[in-house]
Amino acid sequence: MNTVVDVLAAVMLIAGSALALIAAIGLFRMPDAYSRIHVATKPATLAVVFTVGAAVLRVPGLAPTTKLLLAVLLQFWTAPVASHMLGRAAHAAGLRPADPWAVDDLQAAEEAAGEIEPVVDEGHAAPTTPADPLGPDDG
Amino acid sequence: MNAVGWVSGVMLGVAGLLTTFHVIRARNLVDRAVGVDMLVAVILNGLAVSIAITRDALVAVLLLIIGLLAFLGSVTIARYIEQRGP
Repeated sequence: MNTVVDVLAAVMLIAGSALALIAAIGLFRMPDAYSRIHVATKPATLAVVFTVGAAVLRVPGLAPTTKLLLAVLLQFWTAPVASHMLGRAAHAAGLRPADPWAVDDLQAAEEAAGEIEPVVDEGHAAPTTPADPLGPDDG
Repeated sequence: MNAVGWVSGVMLGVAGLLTTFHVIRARNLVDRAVGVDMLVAVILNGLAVSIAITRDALVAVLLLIIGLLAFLGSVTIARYIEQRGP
């Protein structure tokens, strides 16, 4: 019984760490800011669920288990809200998806209301164009 | 369990390094905020792995505190980007 729990915890630890690594690689592979928000949020949340689940399996006692489960619950509450806020802020700041086939309903709604012109996010590309839509990289 | 801890730690370390490079190389503020969020997730993973390996839940409260602070920071940066631009 103990061995089974340990093996399950080991598998969950490896899976969570691999998910975090895949998400970090995906930050470099994805074309625009929206894809990167997606790739940083979903696997990261699942990775935290896996590793904290392994910790719950390994640690005895009620009080640490409660804290760990509360941490998972907090992650489930806050991660979607934070990524939604970031995506909305990116849209309001003028960034647009690099994929021309991406559906942009917020842009359509703002055009219907008479709003801003689109700007293309170039990701990690070198700033070669003379008219850089993002302005100087002052961070 | 020790080997599992090493493998997980190495994978999380590589993930943290890649995310740090992404934060350094990012071209706009949204990418930096995403990278810092990802870095916090990697730190939470590392804390959970250390709890699972050592069977000592002394740092379990840090998971709560760091998660909440990261959420507040992300929302603050998002509000700031909305006013200032990327």
